[in-house]
Amino acid sequence: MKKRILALVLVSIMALSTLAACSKKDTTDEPGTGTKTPPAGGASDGTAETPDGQRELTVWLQRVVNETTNNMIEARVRQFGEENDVTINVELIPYENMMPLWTSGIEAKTLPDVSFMQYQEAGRFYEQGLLTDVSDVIATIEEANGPIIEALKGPTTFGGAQYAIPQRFFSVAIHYRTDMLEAAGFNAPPATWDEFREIAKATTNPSEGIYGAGIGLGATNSDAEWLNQVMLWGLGGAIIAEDSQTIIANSPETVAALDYMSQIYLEDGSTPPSAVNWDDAANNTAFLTGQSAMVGNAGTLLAAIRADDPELYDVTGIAQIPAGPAGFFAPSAGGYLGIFNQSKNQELAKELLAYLFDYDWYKSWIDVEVPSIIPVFERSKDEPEWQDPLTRPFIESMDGVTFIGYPGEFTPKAGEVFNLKLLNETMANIVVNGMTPQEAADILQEKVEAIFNK
Amino acid sequence: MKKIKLSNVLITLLLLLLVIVSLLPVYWTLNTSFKVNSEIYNMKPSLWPKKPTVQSYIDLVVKRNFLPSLWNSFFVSFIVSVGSVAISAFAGYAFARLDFRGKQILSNSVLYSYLMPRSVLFIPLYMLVTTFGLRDNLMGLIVIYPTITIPYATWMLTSYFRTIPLAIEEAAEIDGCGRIRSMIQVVFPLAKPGLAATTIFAFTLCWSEYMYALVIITRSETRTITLALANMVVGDVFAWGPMMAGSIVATIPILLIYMISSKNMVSGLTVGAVK
Amino acid sequence: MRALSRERKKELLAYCLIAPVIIYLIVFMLFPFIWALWTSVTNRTIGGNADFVGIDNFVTLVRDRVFRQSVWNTIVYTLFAVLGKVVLGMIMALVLNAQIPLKNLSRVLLFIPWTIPTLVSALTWRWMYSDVGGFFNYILMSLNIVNAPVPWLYDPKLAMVSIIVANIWRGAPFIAISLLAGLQSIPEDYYEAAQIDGANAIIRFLHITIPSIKDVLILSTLITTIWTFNDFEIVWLLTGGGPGNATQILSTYGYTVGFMNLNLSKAISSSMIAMPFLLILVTIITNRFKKSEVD
Repeated sequence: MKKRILALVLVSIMALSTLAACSKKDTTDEPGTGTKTPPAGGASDGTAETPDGQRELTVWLQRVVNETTNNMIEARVRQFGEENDVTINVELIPYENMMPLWTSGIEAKTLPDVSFMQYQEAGRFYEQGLLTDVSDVIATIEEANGPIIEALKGPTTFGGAQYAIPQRFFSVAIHYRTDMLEAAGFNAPPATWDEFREIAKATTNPSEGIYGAGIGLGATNSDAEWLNQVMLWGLGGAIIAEDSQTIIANSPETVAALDYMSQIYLEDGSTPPSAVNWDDAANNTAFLTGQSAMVGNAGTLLAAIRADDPELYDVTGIAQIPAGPAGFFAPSAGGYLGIFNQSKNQELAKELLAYLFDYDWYKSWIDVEVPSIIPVFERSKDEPEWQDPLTRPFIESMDGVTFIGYPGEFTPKAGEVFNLKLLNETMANIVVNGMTPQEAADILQEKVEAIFNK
Repeated sequence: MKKIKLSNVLITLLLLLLVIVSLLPVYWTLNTSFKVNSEIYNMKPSLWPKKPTVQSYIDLVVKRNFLPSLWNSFFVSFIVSVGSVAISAFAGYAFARLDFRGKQILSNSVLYSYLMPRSVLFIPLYMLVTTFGLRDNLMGLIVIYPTITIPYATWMLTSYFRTIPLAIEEAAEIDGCGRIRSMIQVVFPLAKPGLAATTIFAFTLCWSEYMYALVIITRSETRTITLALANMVVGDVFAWGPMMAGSIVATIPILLIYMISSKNMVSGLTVGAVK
Repeated sequence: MRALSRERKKELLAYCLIAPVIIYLIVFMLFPFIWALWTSVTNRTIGGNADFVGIDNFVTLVRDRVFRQSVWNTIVYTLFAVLGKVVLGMIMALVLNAQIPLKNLSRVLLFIPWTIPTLVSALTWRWMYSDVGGFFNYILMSLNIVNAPVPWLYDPKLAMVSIIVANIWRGAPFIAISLLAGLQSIPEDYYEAAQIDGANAIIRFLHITIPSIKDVLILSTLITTIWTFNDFEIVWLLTGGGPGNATQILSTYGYTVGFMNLNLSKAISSSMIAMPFLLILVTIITNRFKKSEVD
């Protein structure tokens, strides 16, 4: 009896220790994994070299819809590794999945050497002291390629130094159905929000399930948050004042703007009923299916139409986002590249960044996805790819690029307000929950103040 | 006689209804996976593909290199489900059949450990895996997936063991079997349907796990199917075709395993006969 | 004397048998639990320092209207989804255990919903619910049952129903197959004897079926309850908590606060706050479980 128990215990222990042994073996076999002990550690958490003395870089890049672009940049990074005798761990990851990855990377100190980020994250990472100053890399790049659009550097510049390099931008433009607009008697796309509302009403036909304005709200919807934000700015409202500190979410101007915006849903009825809980993909679907005559989206939508639906492509027009009484504002969604200062191979990481901005390669990479992706250099505007009426509005929109926090500076707190999609929530409070614009604005004011006073 | 027939018809109809309800989304998935993109986006959806194509499946395998992730998921799920059911079976037996001090509190705490959501647990578990040096390694998943399967398996097996009449085991003991022998040779075989069901469920829990895999695995060579599928949900235009094809392909191995093991589940029918 | 040593032996054996499970759980669950407990009483942000703040997080949470709504939503979601899964799962198990044609095939078909990775099945459901190109609205409108799309996911009340339906669809096979394994260990002669005694189907169900599978039923319900309570993917992918927080549950709330907003301690607190209630629930149910053992 006792023997049996003993045997059983032994078997369990053996099973467990085999598991442990296996895992140990794997650790030393794989340079990419991180441990606290120097010999087996990855570059990302302390050691710069693998056991055989090879230098190493871990790189996280943004995975986008277009596989060609993804493959090109991955190959480029690997090529850098070959040319410089560096072991490369490069991964392409959808932005949607990044938050848990960064979070756990920060907590366990296992961040990569180089990572893409949006300026919102760059701001937070800078505040937490995680980023390396890359001003020198930007200087090198600009010396070779001419200036980077000045505005794009703003939100990642802290105390005069730059902490992330703008790599590519996703500009938003109105995609509209030329046939639907013509049928309703309009020969040109809307230039102002008033015109937008008018055209939207004229093209709406609920009995056929067609709604002119393909704009929406949604708790996780950053496209919608952006459109609401630029509309609010265009109409003269704002959440944060010029001093970057005072909250003006319930100022008369903002309340009036919110009122105007909610009328598109409540009074005009020109948005699809489902729009109150749209996700990022829903406005695309609305346009691709013919539900909406006008949607605001990045060029990924145009690219999808071009690739999959030639008939729709023939009747698709592109225009800048409408302007309001306060001017023209465009969303600023873009990818930046930064170096985490835990990296032990900072010089190498900087070389890699410069390598990714070699103009000929950079242009060939961007050109795959015109107009979904906007290059960051001033001179790009003159390139032939951007002279077409379907692509021009995208690059011209860069003139109106406005960063979160406007009319103040971009601050991480402002980024937080954006990330919480509070404008979508405010609009939902009016449109779904039946609050008055003033009530909804008061709640917004309270919430934003809570964030700023933390 | 007539009455029995009527009830059989009713049951068959009910079965048909259940099958339809269960398969509706599956039909939609299949339907979509054979469509071309312009047909996928349509205000009036087509109930079957007008221009059926296997392009999505080709894309999935060739462009998106989906098959290695199938193997990764299989490898992890197999080891974890079999391993955790094995150790849970011993614990389950102890909880079901033996009396010992601290039994109640110990068995309860197995379940207590199950109460925290994965959407929070992933941070400490990630730190743990990193300390063991198992990041970006399937072994990392093998080490933490039992947190999902063990509490469940231990409790399920406890209850299955308790449905086996004590008399059978006592009879075995009188015949001179020791505790361990009666456990392994009498109780486990009788609990086969339960063991099989528990293993299958443990397997599928690992198979469709996403949150832990997301943070622990970043390298494409070690990607599991859920990560491969999540990579098709990029930005605002999803790769619906390959994604749907991927979920069909990902479902097939489980169904095969289930079909094979469902024989074992049936063998439980003889429980009564042993008496 | 001899009896005592036998008892001892039995105890020792029991400890050996449960040791692997307990050791594993101590290593992999106790540490995270202590970490979470500590974090919930600090003001820690992701990557930030932690200062002890006592119950501040909990006070802030209770004052937060959205949090209170998430608590209520979680209860509604869990209650109805579990109820639905148990009822549907029970029906499935009984049907599968009856004399039916193509028994093995049916068993496989009904199992399918559980096998599709949630990530994809949730997105499929979202699409089927969609107002454009969505299956349900297309069918309902083609048959002239409705003349405008049903707002499955964008009407605050209906959205909750829709995510519950999707959850039931996915989870019912678990109950069904668990119960089926239990049903199959009921000896056939119990039923035969009852039938001879003249018991009808309902009486047989209540007096033979239910008592025989009671343990498995309670337990699979309990486990399903825990899973449903902590469910994240279905809600996140179908509605993201919207419209206007109408489907915000604790797990989505915690995720939003913690990872969209990097407020780690508040996120952890929001899931810790439910722990005492869950602990009580589990204890009550498992104690009943123990009682049935004595019977």
